[in-house]
Amino acid sequence: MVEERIRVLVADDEKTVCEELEGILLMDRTRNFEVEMVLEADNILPSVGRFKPHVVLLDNFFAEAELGIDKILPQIKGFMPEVRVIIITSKRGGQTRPIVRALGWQADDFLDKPFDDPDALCECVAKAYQHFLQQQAEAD
Amino acid sequence: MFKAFIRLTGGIVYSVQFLENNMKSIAVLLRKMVRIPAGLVSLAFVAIAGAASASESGTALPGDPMLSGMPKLPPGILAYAIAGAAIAFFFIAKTVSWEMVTGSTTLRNSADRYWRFYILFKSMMFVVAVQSIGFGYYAEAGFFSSLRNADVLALLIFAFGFVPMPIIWLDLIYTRNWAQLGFTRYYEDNFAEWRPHWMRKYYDCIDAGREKPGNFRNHFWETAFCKAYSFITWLLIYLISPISLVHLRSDFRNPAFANNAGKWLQAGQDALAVVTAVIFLACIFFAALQTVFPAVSYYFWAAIVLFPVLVLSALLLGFAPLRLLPMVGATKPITVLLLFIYSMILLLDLFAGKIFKDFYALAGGYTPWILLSLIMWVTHIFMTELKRARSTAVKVMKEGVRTNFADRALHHFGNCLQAPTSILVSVQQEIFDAEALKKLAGEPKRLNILLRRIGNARVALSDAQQLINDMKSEARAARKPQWLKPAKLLAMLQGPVDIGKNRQVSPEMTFERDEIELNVEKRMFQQIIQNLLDNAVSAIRSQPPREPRIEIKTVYQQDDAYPLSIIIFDNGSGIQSKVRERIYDAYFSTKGAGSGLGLYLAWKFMEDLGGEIQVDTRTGSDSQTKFTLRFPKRSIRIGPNSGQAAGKIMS
Repeated sequence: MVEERIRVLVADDEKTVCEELEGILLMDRTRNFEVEMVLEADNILPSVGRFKPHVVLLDNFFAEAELGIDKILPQIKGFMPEVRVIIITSKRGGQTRPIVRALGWQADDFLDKPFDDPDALCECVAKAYQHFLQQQAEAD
Repeated sequence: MFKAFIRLTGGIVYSVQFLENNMKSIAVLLRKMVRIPAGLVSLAFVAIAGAASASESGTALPGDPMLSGMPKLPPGILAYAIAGAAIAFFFIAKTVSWEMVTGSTTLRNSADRYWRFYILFKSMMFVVAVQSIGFGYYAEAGFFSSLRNADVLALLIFAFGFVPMPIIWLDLIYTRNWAQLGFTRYYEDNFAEWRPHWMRKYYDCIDAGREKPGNFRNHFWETAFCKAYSFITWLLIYLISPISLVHLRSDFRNPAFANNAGKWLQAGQDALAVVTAVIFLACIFFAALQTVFPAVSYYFWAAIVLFPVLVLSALLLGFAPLRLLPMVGATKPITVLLLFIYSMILLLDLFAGKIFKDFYALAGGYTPWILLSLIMWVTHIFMTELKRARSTAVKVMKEGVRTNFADRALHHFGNCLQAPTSILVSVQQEIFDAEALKKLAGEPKRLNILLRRIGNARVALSDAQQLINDMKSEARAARKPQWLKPAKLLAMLQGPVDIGKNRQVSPEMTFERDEIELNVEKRMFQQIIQNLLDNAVSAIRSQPPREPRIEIKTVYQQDDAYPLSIIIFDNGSGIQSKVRERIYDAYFSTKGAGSGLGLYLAWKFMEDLGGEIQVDTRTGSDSQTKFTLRFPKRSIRIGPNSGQAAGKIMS
């Protein structure tokens, strides 16, 4: 078990999705994830500031958000440029990626839900964490 | 204080005249220095615009159905390209071929030919620039929402653009009279007798006014006509700027920037745009003053009106370049940089063009201002179109239009399925054989997490079930309605309701005219009322007042378009203004649980009946919410008290 704690912020307005993602990450045997959940769009930035995650799992659609995800994402990156952001989306058919790239969003990876392989999620987050470390090493 | 101001003004006028008298060569140099770069920048602008529009259309990936709704090229881009080309031609030609237009005899014919091209281009440029700005303005105001309508409106605006064209054209020609340039001399010499009567009057006025101010009293109507004509003409040209200013105000109040750099960049961009609008307004005012008081010295007005504008511009422009770093995104810095360059050119041109008499340029020297400021606005609109194309893509990303029931149902359903899907895989992994099961039994922490996830998955499935039920109700709403007494149904909701913390509240019921009957589907009606009552209870639970109160009542007003109203009132938390306009959206809920369909169903139910649902709410210390269901005449009748025989249907 790796000693270092990987801080992951899970942001989704559906409580069941949030809790499931948290549960998956906490049950991972090979990595030590520390998870915080955010259910409201307004709390995302304060949580990022407080928790200082390495990776953020961000739902691409918050029903109540006054700021859409297209504003929240740049805000997160502006606040903490080194944080890695993975967008979770209900878009089926893998069409998320080209749209998001076309928009020039700074998301690092994309995950379509519902996904059935919990290990894939953990892999995705771990990879993002590796990128985080790489970036930090380059910055130093 | 006033004396000091007059002295200062006098000082400026004196310095200006000093410069004019003593430093002509510098003026020439300054002029050329301004014109050539301006021309080159215009050309570069056109190139950038072309490249940017090409790359923008390139992001719509071919064959991708998700992106088929995206607009192609930003509207106005063609107009922009023509305007840019015309302006480039103007600037470069003016600098390079200055001799051609000074009226040198040997080049007279060439000057004439050249001048005609120039006038043609300039008029075209004004027309398309006005078009594109107007088009952009209407687009920004949300005047049309589909591309089809946009084409129609563009055509209309294009047609409209030709109305001021003759006026602009005439103005451009006749202001040559003041500039004493080659073409006008040629025209005056050779075509004087071709002028219509009213034009001759106009020329007489101008000459009379300039040489003998006293004559204005003798030619009252001509004078009035001249003043009105000049003023209206300039007003037509400059009308864009107040519209732009209004447009600006909404940008200027943009809240919430991501970080300080973004904020300053935005502020710099807006400052430059403000400067442009201010300069425009100053030009209008100045033109008006010059028209109304032509006998007064130009320089005096220039100093009074333009000096504060210059100071303000210099301050604001000094602001912008400091904030250009760091660059966030591609379009804003380009816009800001170009705006900055153009504004500097404007200022330089003001000094070079206005102050030195030999270069008392076309259209009274306002042309560079107009041209450059117009191109700034076309740029601004172009960049706005870029933003709009992006936000269309964002909307596509946001998984369906808000009021699209089916899309939102699918999104919600997808969310509900996540937990059950992944937990089953996890369970399978953890208990796939006896060894794994034993291992799990020995790790209580993991086991607890697994159990918690299972519980969560059950909640998700129950939400999915709720969703299915609600969708069934929605389908059920199409069933045949019956006449029933709302008062009777509502009375069934009497009785205490639990509002938490061992407290209860009984809804107070009042019914006017309880013999009234409604023609509705019974179960739907009951569900709607139950939903509203549940909302009231939730509101009270979330912010319990000292004396909780729920009221359900019917109100009847015979002569109203909606005679029967059913009102559900509570003094709970109230609905926050930021979510107020979304409460009727399908799957929108401020509570953690539930389907979020309650108010949507209520809204749809009333819509289908031809009635309406209203909400009055306030938050804060005396918060409350009141939902009013208003039923139309055709769904109401007065039944007899016995509720047996059919009553008279209200007409």
